[in-house]
Amino acid sequence: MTAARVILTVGTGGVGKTTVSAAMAAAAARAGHRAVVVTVDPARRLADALGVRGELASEPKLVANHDNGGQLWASMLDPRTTFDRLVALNAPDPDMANTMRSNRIYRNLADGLSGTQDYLAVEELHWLAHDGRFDLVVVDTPPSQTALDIVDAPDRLIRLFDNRIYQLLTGGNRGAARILSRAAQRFVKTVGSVVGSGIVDDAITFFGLFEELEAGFRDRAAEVVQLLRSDLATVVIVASPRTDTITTAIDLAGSLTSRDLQPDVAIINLVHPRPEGLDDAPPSEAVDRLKQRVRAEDLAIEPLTAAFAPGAVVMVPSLPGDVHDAVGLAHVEQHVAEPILGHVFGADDTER
Amino acid sequence: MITTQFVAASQVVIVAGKGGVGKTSVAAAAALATADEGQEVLAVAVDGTGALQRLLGCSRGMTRSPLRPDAISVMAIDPTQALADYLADHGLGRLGSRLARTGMLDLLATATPGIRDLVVLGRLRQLAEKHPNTKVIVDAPAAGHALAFLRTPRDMLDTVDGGRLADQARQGLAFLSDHAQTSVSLVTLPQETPVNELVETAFAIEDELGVALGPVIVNAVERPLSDPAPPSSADSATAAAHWFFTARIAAETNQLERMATELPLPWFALDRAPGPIDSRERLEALARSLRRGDLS
Repeated sequence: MTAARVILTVGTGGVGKTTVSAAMAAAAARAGHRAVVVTVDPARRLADALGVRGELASEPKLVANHDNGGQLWASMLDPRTTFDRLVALNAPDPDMANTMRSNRIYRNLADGLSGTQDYLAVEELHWLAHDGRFDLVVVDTPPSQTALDIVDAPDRLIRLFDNRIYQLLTGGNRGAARILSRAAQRFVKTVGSVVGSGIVDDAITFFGLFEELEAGFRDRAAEVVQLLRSDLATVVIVASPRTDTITTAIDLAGSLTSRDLQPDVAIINLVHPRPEGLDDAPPSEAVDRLKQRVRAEDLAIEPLTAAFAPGAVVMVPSLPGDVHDAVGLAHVEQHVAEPILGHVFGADDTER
Repeated sequence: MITTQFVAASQVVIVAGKGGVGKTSVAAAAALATADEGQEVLAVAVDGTGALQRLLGCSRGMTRSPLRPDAISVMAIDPTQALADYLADHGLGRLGSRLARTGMLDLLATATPGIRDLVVLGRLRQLAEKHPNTKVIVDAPAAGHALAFLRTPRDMLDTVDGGRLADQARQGLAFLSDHAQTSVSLVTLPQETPVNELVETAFAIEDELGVALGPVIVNAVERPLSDPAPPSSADSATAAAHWFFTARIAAETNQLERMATELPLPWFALDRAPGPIDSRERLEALARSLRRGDLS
């Protein structure tokens, strides 16, 4: 089975990343593709607009059906569901998967270890790309400062289970056996006095279980990163026209590029409108105010445009008033459709 | 005088809000405004981005803000480092440093979610005790994390089996719920989703956690046009500019009214700055409007 095309959306919080992700999927659906968007922690109104609230939100739901065969699906990332699936795929037997799922360390892992959620978002992307129901999978990632979390999370996960700690805790015994060396006993006692002894027991059990899963996790992580590096993947950075988010976006682009995951499109969301003829309009309070805002934004954006050349930088103006999210979504869709579809499916596709 | 009301209520003011609302700018401006009231200030960043330090003009390693070298100290608490220090102080010194690289800290943080936040709270409490005459202004962790941060001690007490962490959690809880010592000021934008989140967060913080809330800061509010009447016989760009601001102001006014109805807290509006708060000039202007302003 060939994989679907995928879009990975990255950026900091508060820039409308989730809305942009949904708009890109909606544009693809309107153009006749079967597209699914995986959102991470969407604001309530957007979740409502996409129909991804409540039970079973992690299973994709059909949101829109177009006459040309296009479909829009949406789901919400549930890190635990994704993680449980990874364990089930790699566990030698169901009993072991169950023991793992009830382990406290395991239960905290999806939330506790920074970067785990980012990795699970990418894992979800890989899973849906091979699902067969979709031509395009758009995955929103948790707000992040660096790309390290996405690409390095598998390594970090594996480092967590580093043999040296494991050996220290178990005295080098394989499996879940626990004959502690004297040094390890002292260590375990000290850790226990700080965090409580139950946690140490859980950790030892967890390591024993994870040993069985490690090889599978490594292979899977390699496949996921390979998909992201392939021609099927488009990496989209979303920023707002503020100096701080632009600086972060440039850093993010740099760290992605250094890991061979060069971003393809930058979207600057929530810019002020730039009506035609603004420069020549006679001075008035509204015109002067708008000109000043546009100038300040252009100054803020300029370093990204320079760093991104010759890649595409797309600006999406904000709507002034309170709009229903379906309207807001359609508005963003209008602005991102052509550049994104052109990039993902080739230039002719937008005519479909 | 907003500053007095903003910071007088408690020694430690935690400035919190979702990503993108300008929380760090507000924290930095509050530090300046408080210093200008003649107070000694300690500005603390716990989000690890360095944004607060940059705004206050500090380059790496600086502990006094060049903007008010006599009055403002600046420090960053790195949660992972704080955890390593904590473990070092509690008998894991040698192991802690040797294993830091191999993921021991990750393991502990995973086994006990919130341990880093708890240790950060402990550090804040120590700082406040060590400098009783200093206002401590904290730029809280970014993006949705603020509530989790404030919930940490309570969650921790529910999950740890005992040990020193439980004591640490009890102390953290006492620190947060002592209204004379600590309050939280929430920053939001005058838009529907941020206002919804503000209202939810505020009720959770006060009712569920018993933490005192200071005034709400509504950031980036569009100033009214002095002549709201549409320009007669205007060109299309002028009409578009006028329509844009009129529509935005009307929508923001609606949201502010709704916020005032749903949330019984004093609030304060900061004008939308002409551009990003990325220069001393703009930060000083923000600080001046904080000092000038009146609560609604």
